[in-house]
Amino acid sequence: MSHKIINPSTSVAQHPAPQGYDYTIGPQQTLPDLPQSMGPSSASTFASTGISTTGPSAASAASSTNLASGPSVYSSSLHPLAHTQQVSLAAYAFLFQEMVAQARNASKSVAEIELRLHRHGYHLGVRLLELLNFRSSVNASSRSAFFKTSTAGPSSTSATVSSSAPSAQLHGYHSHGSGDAAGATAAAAAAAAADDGHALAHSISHMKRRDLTMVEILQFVHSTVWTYLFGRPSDDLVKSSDRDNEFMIVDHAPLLTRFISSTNVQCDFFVCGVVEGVLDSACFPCAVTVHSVPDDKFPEKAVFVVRFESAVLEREALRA
Amino acid sequence: MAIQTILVINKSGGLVYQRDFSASAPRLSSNEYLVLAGTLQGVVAIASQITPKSLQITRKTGSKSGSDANHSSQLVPYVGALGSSAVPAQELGSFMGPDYFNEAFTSWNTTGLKHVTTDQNSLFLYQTLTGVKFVAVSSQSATSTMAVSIAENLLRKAYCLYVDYVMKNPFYEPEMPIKCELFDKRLGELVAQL
Amino acid sequence: MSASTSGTSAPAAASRKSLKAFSEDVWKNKTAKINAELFTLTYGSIVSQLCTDYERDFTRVNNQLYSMGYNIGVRLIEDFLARTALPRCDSLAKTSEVISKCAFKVFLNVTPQIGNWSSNKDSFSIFLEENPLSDFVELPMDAARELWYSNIVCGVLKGALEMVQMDCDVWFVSDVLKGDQLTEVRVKLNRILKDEIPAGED
Repeated sequence: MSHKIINPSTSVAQHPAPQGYDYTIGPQQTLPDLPQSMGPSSASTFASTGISTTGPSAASAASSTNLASGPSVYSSSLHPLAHTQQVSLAAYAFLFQEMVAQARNASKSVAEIELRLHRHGYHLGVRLLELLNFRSSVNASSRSAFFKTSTAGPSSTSATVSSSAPSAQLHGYHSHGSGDAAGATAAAAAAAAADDGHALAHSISHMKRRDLTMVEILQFVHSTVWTYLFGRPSDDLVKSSDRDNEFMIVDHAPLLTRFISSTNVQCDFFVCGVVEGVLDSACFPCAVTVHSVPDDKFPEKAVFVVRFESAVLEREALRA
Repeated sequence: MAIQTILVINKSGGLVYQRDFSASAPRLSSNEYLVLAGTLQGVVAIASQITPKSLQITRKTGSKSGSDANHSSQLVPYVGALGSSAVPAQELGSFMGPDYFNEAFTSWNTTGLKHVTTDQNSLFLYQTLTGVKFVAVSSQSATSTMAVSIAENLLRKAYCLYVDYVMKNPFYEPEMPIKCELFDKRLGELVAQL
Repeated sequence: MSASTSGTSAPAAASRKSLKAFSEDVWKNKTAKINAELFTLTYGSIVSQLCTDYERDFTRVNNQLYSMGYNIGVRLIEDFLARTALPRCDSLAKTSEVISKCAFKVFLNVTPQIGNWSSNKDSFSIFLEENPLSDFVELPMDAARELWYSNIVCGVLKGALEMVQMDCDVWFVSDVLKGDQLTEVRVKLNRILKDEIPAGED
């Protein structure tokens, strides 16, 4: 009960999980941008969680070790039970194949098949924007700190926190800036690990800024989204010379349709859906289509054409 | 070894794919090809029945007489990247590695027909566990075990291409004739390597 | 399906290495891979779309997933055989081992446990401790009662085994998504389709 003595306040400190909306407090930032805002309350948060959950997910600790060794932040999941980072391309190709076959059986026209694939992709796209933004906010050091300390086991965590003195120390660390105190981050992360793994948030010092212009968001699609989906950035990002609202993302060898001989149905409409989902959820309403443009060097080359709605252009003109 | 023709026969004996690779390939009518496919299907079955029982039991290598049905060893040796080593082995779809296969492999076809040889040319047959057959016709009279191994390796690679570019194509209906551009193209590249 | 003598029937690779090491090698060095999350999300999109299309009639969704799986299975088996060149299994025990240690490994990079053999050895269970299909998934209340989220797996096994001439029934017994302790898939061998075994194998 020591934490109550340190923190008799009735305000924020009563809420161990800063996530979620509390009407007595009003809107709050879920991810702390400024370390100051964490203040004494957060220290007590760690203390209380450290004590109450004595045996925090020991199982997840083991699985998270191999996550930390992943080559890039984009390529792996932060989900504590996400064990496999990869499946075989063949398995995916068969699933994709069946998805197309099913869309084909349910449709009467080519346009309808493409629409269905597009819809499937859109499902994914709207989920990716926040996820990938979040992941690129987790920098490598905070990430490894998080996972390393969590593997050190629950015992060490509770040992540190259960006596009241170290928790005060924690508090002290935290009122320093986030910049240098790697130890503080690690300690914070260790305590946070007790909190169901959600608290990775505490080790994030800055959320990545949202992309606000067309070029920025397309860069995001071209690099981050593409790397996430296909393991490499797209081959080119081009602005149309004729139309202001038109951009092109070029892929020399689309991965998902690699095994599908070209027909009049464009299976890459699935990827269009993903891109449109990402852009839509970022408030860049647009239409995305795909055209295969085979040339001698890249016989399977595909061009994804992004056409933004005029509202986007108007908004951008206002900002300029 | 110059491959003239490659055929794919589905498990019920129907011809689903036929392609010529050289101008000198024999010009058979499509009907004749269908008959050839059906005949091979039958002969494979009969060949396995005429295998002497003693051989079936001991599972030793078959006759060396150079007759129609020649049962070579079950284990097909690896013959290296097919063709000249100057050409880097091409990537084989989702099958990775400098050369996907670098080991000997077991032939599933133990007592059935494997190759037919005449003085001018020879025919090789590779059968999968599901009953699909890949047939290659070569313009050389090849009786050496080496030639047979090369043909088996080649046809096994053709099987891999079939798996990638036919099986993973949503527009292909199982058991139906294969019309897949990419399969044509990749198979062409594979044969050209020899 | 005659029992083959041990030495000659095993593939060259597997005779020297264990099945496990063999599959590990195939997975690690010889298989093109893709982000598992993309796989999970795509499957999720398929299931949720089916639920919408069928107006949350989950029995129909289950059936549809099963038949999609079947279609995949009859194709996937060819990939598996081309990739591994394993010989025909001479017993169901061997089959179960190949499924868990090799097939699941090579395609999904997981190795489920096998157990719960029936007394006459004609059926067994696959325990999916890890299931890449259902990462991140929580079923809504109405779906939790009837929907077998990963039912596509049953269809795949059914289709694949049928292509190697084994007539099996495959179904889900329990699923952690429904609040069960384990995810269990049951496989029961009805008979071996002897007539359909391609000539020339024995």
